[in-house]
Amino acid sequence: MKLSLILGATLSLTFTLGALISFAWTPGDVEAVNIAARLQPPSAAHWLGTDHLGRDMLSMVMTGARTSLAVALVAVGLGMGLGVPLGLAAAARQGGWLDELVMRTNDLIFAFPSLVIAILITAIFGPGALNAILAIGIFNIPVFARLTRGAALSFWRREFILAARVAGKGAPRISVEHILPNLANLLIVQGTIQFSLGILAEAGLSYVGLGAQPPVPSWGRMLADAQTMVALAPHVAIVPGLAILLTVLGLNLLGDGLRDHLDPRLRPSRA
Amino acid sequence: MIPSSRPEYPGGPGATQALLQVDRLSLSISGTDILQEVSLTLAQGEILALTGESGSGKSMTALAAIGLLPEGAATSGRLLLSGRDLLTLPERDLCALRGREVGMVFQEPMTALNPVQRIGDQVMETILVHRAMGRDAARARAAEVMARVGLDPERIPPTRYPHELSGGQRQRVGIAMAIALRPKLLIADEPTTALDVTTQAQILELLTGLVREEGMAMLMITHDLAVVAGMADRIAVMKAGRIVEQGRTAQVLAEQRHQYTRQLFEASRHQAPLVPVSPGETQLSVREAVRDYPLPRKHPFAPRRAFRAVKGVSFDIRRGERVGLVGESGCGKSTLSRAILGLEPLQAGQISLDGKPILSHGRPDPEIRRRVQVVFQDPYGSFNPRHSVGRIIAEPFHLLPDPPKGAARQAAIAGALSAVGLKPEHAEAPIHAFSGGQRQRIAIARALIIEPELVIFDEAVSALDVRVRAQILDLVAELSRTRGLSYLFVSHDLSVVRSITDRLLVMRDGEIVERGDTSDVFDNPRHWYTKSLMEAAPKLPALAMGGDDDAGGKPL
Repeated sequence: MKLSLILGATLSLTFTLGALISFAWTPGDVEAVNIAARLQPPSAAHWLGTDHLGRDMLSMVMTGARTSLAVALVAVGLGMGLGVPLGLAAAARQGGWLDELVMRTNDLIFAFPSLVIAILITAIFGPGALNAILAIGIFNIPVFARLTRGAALSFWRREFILAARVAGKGAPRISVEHILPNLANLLIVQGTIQFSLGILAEAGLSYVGLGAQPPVPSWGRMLADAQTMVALAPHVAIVPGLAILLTVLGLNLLGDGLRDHLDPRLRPSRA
Repeated sequence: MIPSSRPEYPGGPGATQALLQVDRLSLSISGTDILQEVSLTLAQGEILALTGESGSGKSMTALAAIGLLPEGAATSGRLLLSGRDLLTLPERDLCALRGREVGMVFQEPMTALNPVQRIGDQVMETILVHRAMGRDAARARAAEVMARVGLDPERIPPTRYPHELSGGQRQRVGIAMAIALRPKLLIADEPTTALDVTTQAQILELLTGLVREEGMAMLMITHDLAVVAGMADRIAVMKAGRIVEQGRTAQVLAEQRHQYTRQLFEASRHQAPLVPVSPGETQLSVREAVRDYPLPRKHPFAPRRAFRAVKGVSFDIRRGERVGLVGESGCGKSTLSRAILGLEPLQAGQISLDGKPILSHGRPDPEIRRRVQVVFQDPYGSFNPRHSVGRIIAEPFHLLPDPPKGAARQAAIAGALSAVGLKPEHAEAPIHAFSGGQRQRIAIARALIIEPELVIFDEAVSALDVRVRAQILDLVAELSRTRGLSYLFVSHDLSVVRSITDRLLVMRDGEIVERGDTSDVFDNPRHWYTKSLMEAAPKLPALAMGGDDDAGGKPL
């Protein structure tokens, strides 16, 4: 349990650090094409080798991490920012028209295959990082709305909420003051897991050419570019593939580890 | 001196060889000492009551006797069941023994049953797990024990699910599971604490009957001396992991050699020192209050059905008056108290305070709202676990148009804490640092901070140990004296309301069936339901004890 938390945190932190460092420095220039040095295997000069245009793969992975993390982060932020208030409002008015509206819209969005619709949205509004964020973010809203509503409902039945109502506090105030802080752990954990799903979705979108556009590097497009070269130089496919795998794995482990760590039911009982 | 309604029976204490023998059992869990040198014996056909307050180690002793100690438990001493030491037995053998030689009945009948399994299958499972007999024989045996515990197969067939049963019926299923294989030892851990008094009396009778007829031994764990006074052969009193007194029931109750036993006994019969008051004008007025809950429709076009929880109730509370509201679970008393707090709308009738309605157009008026406050039952659930005591207590300030700030706010919090016997420094502490009794004091401080005229105590002492309960009742009596507080004391426990109220309302099925001065109702109950409640309530034998009238000590 503890090991997964440490491993997850290490992996997630490594990629975040890589992305941050890439703002200031990368081993090579990701926009400099050098056909002579193309498809080189890993070496002392290029730790992870070079791609089909002779660009340094390590630099590409670092800068690509920036794109992946930024898209996923903003998309999850969008989902949380809209989904959590909607879920809190639905729980506060359980059975009312607002609850029905939020939950039925949720059901509607859940009924669509998310990646296919994301492809549709980016195809209509044009490929690019911003549209990818919107497309991924929209599918995060119902996830957070449903989770928040379910957890908030269980708190609405607790006596301390009754006590707050006796103190004359209204539903919005109770939601923010009493319910939201008690949901924090749950939301952090779900946020971590949605974050990893966001990275996968971004990689998927840029794989089909609908994510960040060239020359901005992205892991999904690196994979797509590598597709025809796998037999010639396997490392051009393995490197971005491993980057996606390890980041998603790291974030999932971090999420599970945090859940175990933060869940009060798994802590020693009250004194 | 002791009314011995209990028949003498063969094979009494000391008559046969001990079935369970606990010999200087000590237990520590990750370094904390839980039990110290506990010694007990239990013979076949005998009922031993293990009493004490929460945290005294009585449940841990029971868990040791069924080999279910938590991980990290270090034990010394011996725990012999039919001559075998359970402390050294491997898990495999313990599994074979649980259910077959030792059966256990738990406190909470809802959580002790699997909600998605039919009750008949759950009883059968105990039998099949031990491969005691074939499927058909097991089914027949399950039907037999379920009939034995009073589950009529006509009315409650084994195909029912736990949620379709009442609390008492669920506990009967729990007992059926425990006795399905005719274990020699039955452990009952607070088996009636979650039940109403009339149901409690039936379950106690059933358990006693089982022990006497099937020749089992029973280890009964309870915090309530009155429950065991009428049924146990012997009593062991535990305190802080030690057995401080042990002996035959009549003897323990009569002699009370250990000081702690005496304290427990006094607390059970405690009368709060309530000073007489002359009530003023009408404060709260409830007129023909009706509360319906919508039920799910049978099909989409069926007319909406409703369950009427409160059926046209009327009563008044006058200034300074102390009124009790008694009834069993589901009688509508909690719904009624929530309606008075303005938390639930009424379908008909009106509730008003000082002549003004609590709810106008479905919204509570803050001006009226702040004159009523409440203390809830659960000392653990009624506070936001993330807030400090000061913040919790100050919450009702929200009702004031101009709440005190800064130093004035701190002074108000300190004043409220002192009024309930806590220290002003406690305001900074997180809520989880406090015990159940202290938490109820904090709940009372929260209710008092804006100086309401009426406080509703909704089962406010039901979750507390007897000694703590006595202290809280004293505090309530003192607040009534010093502040002229009027209150509505809602409880299922007759003995609690008797000492703390002037007037009594008895509620059943959403209606008030009897009302009158508390002492009159107790001396001369007129309605059959009130009579049955009083008969069912467990009583401590009346002992000739001097100076009992002024037994009320100071809080804390």
